[in-house]
Amino acid sequence: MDPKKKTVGFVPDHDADTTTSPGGSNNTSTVNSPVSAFSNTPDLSSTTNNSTTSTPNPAGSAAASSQPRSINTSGARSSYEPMKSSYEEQWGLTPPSRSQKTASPRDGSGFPAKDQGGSNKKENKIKASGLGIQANAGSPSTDGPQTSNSTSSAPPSAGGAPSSGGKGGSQKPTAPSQKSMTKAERRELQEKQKAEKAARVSAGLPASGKKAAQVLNQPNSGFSPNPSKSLATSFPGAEAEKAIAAAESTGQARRREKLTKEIGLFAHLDPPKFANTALAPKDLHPAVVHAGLQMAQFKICGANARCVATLNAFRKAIQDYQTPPNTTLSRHIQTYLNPHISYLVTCRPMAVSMGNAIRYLKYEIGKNLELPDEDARALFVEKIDNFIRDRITMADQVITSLGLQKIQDGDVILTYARSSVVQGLLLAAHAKGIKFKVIVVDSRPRFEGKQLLRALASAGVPCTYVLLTAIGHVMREVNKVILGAHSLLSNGALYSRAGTAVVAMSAHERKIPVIVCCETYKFSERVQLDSFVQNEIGNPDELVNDQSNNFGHSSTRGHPSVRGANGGDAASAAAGAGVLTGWRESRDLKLLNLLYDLTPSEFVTVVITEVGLIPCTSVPVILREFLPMMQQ
Amino acid sequence: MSKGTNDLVDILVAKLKRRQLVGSSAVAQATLKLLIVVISKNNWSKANDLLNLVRSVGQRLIEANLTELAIGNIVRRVLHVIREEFRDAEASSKSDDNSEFQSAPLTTSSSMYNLLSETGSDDKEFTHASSNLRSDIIQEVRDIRIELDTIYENIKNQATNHIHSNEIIMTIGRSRTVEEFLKMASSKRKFHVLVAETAPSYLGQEMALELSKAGVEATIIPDSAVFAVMSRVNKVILGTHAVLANGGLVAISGTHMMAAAAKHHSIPVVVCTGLYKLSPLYPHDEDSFNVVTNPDAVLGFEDGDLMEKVTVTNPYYDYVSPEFVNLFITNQGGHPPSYLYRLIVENYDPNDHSFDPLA
Repeated sequence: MDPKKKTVGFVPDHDADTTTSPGGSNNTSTVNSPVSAFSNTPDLSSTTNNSTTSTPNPAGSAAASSQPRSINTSGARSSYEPMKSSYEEQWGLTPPSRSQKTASPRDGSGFPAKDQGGSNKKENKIKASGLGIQANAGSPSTDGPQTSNSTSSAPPSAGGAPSSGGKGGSQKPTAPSQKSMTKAERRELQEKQKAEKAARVSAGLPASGKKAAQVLNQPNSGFSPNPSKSLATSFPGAEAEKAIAAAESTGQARRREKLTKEIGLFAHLDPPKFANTALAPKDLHPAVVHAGLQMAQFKICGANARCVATLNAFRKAIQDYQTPPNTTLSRHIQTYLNPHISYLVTCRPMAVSMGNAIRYLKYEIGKNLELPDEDARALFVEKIDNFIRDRITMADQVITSLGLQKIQDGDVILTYARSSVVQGLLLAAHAKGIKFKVIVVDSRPRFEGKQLLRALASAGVPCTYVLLTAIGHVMREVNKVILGAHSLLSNGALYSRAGTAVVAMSAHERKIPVIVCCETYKFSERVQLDSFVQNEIGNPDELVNDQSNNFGHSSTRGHPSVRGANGGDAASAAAGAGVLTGWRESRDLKLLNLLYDLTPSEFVTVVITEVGLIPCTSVPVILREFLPMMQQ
Repeated sequence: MSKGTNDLVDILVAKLKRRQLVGSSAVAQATLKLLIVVISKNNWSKANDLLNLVRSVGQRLIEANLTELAIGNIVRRVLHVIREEFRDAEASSKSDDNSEFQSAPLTTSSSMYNLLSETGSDDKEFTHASSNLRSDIIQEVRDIRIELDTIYENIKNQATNHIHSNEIIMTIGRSRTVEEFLKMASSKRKFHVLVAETAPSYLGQEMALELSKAGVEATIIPDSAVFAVMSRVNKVILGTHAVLANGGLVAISGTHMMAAAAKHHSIPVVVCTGLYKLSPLYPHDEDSFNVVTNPDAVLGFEDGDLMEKVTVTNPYYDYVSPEFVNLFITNQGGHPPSYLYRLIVENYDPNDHSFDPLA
């Protein structure tokens, strides 16, 4: 099987889950849209990216998603002109003034990502709701101008290039002074936040430009006039980050606390990150920048998908790498890759799978220092391909075949959220003709299980869908729990999507076997006893149920029938306003969006790996086999 | 039954059936109010007449919404009061003749002190004509009403006995009892509350919002993070919809998960509840008292294409078995689950556990 093709399965499409537009009148249209999207899929996908992927078949989309640079630049550029605004909003490429405008209703403290609802979301929905993979394939390719722009030129200029490609066209009036503009705006933002956090008047572009020019004359604090930084404004969450940075620079610790709403117990963890190329050094390879952005925006998530995306990006970086004078490729490539790696970390904390893959790559580089340049390049590319093939693609196939032995007729299998391996296993079991039922347990805020549900339901597997709170209710009829893993730690603990521990615990409590599917490359030599020391904090605003932020999920609408039980806020809830809108204004209210949790090894019955079925306490035994590579 | 009261019963039955009236507290208040009218506005001369009247009304109310156990509890309380009053009256009339016997009928039938003596549970004794019992009984029932009104007061006054400084407390859903309890505690101590947002009803979000408005430091966590943060929690304080005779809870969906996580981490689980939620019924099945609500909250019509292929369930309640609960804080003080049977005996008459009309 072609490893590239295999990646299709890993590529998540959150687009499919982005949702409804605000306002009641739009409701009907959003309800209808999936149906219409279904009926004429080819048509819609052609509107999505008529010039880039001519045939919207899965294979084509796989290529598009894994190889965004293969897009024809010039064609894409011109054909995108008419629908630019929508794709810019979709990717958060709105010019600064606009994002500020949208942010202003929530006092500029919020993350504009959510407020960009409206038309683009709807469009997104129409595009995305057709078929998962196709929809997703559209998204990376719409990003074409950004990355492909710079691909045609030499890699070193890549860092800054995407910015001009992305927004040059849409902000023509202020284009000459754009650099100073955004900086000034930043300054302005800072000024106003100092004054008070009340709503900033979104005074339109020219007005703020004038103001900005005035403010520009004042001495600049904290910020260096780095051109690439101006791009920061164009990404979701950048406003908040800037505000935080501003608060930091002026030493207002209290304000920072207010903005970040830091949770004491998790103060040691990085605050949620946002797609932000401002943090990127200039000479990054665009493929890596692209992968980083997609990870930061959770367009690519899941340990396997992130690892494959990283490796693919690095392969391209190595292929395009040009050895500087007086050095050799294998001696210099590591220093070349290091900023790429740290850039990925700034986008989103590194997944264990990515860390292991990168360590393997470094190990291979270190082993072959004496090779001639072209041989080394070919070797490293081959090693990367082999890693993806052996440790991920083939491993998944072996896990699937081993897992099939554990699924029998009449089984009721419970699974949580979405794991690419578990999805593959369940689909394979169904294809094999085993009659079983699946209960998909899902949770806020991302509702990842919905993708799995969609895949299983369209394959014809009988499915039940519940939220995590109902776990006690559904667990009785279950006779197997199959879970995916982000990582397995050396003490046997399972580090996986938040909520996994609750599911495993409920199963353990009822003596139901818990089966974990995990490739050995996700094993980590780390040990951890609780979910605090190492974890990841997501954007807390994802927990707010407002219309523009419900990940395609209707549950965030108010339900008087349910809420009636406690009367009170039924009316306001029914109106569609989230209970928590404006939570940042409340002094004592905080939101914690924890992404992972740790399942103690006692809850896990068996781990299915490509080396066989092992108890999860055998992780260090397996790791010993890969010791030389891990010591890097 | 007089026509006027019959109409009132019909109205309440309709409201319960349509779920216009939900929630233990509201239902209990309405039931009690109705029963006062039933007792005062109807003609009855013998105890049995009254008992049968209240039973028949109670039966109709209970059948209107089987998941609202508070209705049955209140009816049983009232029946119990009626029996007690008749016993009192009888005792006082007997004591005129024979003063030796006065102690036995005053105590409830199952008290340890009269295990070997004559039991007073025989209903035939309540057939005597009553003189001015009506006002006595109504007075007693009004006392129950006062008790209902002061429940929050009584429970929240115990707050400072249970919460210490800098504590981290976890809760789920929105319970007025817990809300008042925590607010009261926050006036004396500084502590932190973690509230699971309780999808798909999101009552936890409302709870956190209310707490934060009252100055309690509250953090909303998604339900998925309950296990992850449980290890740092000092106490889990839960509200409940009903407490069953074995000490099990019928509480908002997700409570089981939280209680089980707390048990795994050996974190004490405290349940704040008024005694009117204590039911003498046993759960024969975990779903006995559950209700499955509109699944739209779980998977909406936006996913219409999916919906026709999959089953979606949205249970509103969870059954939490008594081994997960460490303490009940009621309006009469704190009790371990093992003590609940005693409270049941004190508050309800064993003859009233089921509502078959008397012969």
